[in-house]
Amino acid sequence: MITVRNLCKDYRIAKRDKNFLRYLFSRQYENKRAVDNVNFSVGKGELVGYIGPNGAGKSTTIKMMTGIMVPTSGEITVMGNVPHLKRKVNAKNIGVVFGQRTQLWWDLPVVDSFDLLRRIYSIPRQDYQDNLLLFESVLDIKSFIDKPVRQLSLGQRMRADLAAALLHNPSMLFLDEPTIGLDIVVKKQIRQFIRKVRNERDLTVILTTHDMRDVEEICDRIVMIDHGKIMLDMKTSDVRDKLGGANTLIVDFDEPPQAVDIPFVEVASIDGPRWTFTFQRNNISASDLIARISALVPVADLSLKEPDIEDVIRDIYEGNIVL
Amino acid sequence: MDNLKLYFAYIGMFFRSRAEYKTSFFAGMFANFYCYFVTYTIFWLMTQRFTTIGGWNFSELTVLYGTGLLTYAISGVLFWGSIYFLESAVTEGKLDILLLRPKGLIVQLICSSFGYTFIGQIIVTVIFLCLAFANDASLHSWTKILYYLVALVGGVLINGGAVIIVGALSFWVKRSTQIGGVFYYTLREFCIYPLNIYPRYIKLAVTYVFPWAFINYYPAAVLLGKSENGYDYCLGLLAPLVGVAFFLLSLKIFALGLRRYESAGN
Repeated sequence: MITVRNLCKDYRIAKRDKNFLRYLFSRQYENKRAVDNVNFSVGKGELVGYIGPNGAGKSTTIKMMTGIMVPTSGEITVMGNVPHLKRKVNAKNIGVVFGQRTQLWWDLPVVDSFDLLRRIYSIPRQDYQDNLLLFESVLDIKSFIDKPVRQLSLGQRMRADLAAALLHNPSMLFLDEPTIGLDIVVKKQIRQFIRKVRNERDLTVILTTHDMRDVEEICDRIVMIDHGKIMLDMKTSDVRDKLGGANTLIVDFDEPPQAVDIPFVEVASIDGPRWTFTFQRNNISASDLIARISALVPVADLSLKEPDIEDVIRDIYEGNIVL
Repeated sequence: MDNLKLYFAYIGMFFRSRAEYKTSFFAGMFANFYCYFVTYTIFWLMTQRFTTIGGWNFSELTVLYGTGLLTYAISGVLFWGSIYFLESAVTEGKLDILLLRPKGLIVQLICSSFGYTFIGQIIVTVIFLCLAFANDASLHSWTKILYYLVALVGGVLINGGAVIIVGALSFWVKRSTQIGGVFYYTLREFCIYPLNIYPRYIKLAVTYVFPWAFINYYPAAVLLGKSENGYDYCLGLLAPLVGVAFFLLSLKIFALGLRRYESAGN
């Protein structure tokens, strides 16, 4: 669906010069490389989390894939088209939501915005009606569809924007921070919706976000960019299992055992009846471990802590995990 | 055709969203009507005193001025609001949304801002032009009226092209509207009056450097038999073609500029 090869984007930034005349007539420019030799490809139906710290080059990549910006060098094809050369064809294939910016008309009721989009994309009436029905039920937009966009809450606006991006039945969806600033209820609703449409329509989804819960709950794969370079590209579960360090099992015993000796399992701390074990998923499963411990002595209570994707990602950003 | 339908859909939405601001809508239109009504009256007063300016009487001056104003106002309805101020849209990265849609950018910009205030100018100008045409028996011929309509289209294209170029400049420089103000608005003002009243270089400038004289002066001169010589007469006949060429040039410049578009980051 998408192939990105040796993609680079430079921004030209004028150097400040105290000599005003020189600044005016022979300005010196500095090239800042925002995207630096990026390679990846996305297959049909994949749900990819494209993450990275602020200023890493995420939005720039998205803007090149959607045809808004022209790459400095390298190649992009989205469903066989080079986005900036075939902008209009590409536009029909993709749907885009910018969390920071609405594509709806500020002064118009939501339904009028949808109607304009129906005309702009030449959406067949039947498809349009079907989609409206679906969005009314799943995104619950019926309650505010007649309100002008400027009167909507952020959560309502985002749901309306998501619906707007899908009206023309695109095969790909780009979501640039779709959950930014939303409360947990709306966030959850939006995640469920993304999963649902992805499954029902075999959509390919690229999502950028700073909320690792988004990635954890809905993305199959993580691509991480920093300083314009791809730092990591692997399945979400692998990020947790391979980079995430140890799982932790906390057990409260009625009568603490003398010792627990299970291969690949360490006793991290003992605090009276509360014992903390650490282990790696690929060596022993949690259920196995629990079974073997409770076979030794009766267990009063236990809790399991998995490594958190957010912690893993933070460790990578901060350089604690070197890839 | 589809684009035309889309344009009217947008205008329909515009009026619906504007229904709440009815007074400001009419006030804007009336202000323009009044302001240009006064200008025509000043022409009338001036010709009462001097009878002609550069050999052109009041109704001839009305045709000259009215042609410039009418074509400007029509291009204003279509292009002015969004494209002339493209500068702010470019610096704020607002074009992103439009670029995501399967329509040309110019088409979307034309659709998205309906320059309703220009309707005031159009109404007052059409009234005065009709009076001028009624007064001047030499204009009562179908060929002249047909030529005039074609020339009007040419004038709209030159004005529209100028607005598009001014807008497109914002892809290269920050303060494009100020540059546009000098080269478009100020220089074009010369063409309010017959160009033979100025030193010769003015006429050369608004013919060969900036084609503003093709908007109204050359066509009006052809229409009224006031071309200074055969060459000027030919320029007048060619004016609609100049309009088409200039408009195509402006689209080209716009497309070139767009390649430089670097939306504002977030």
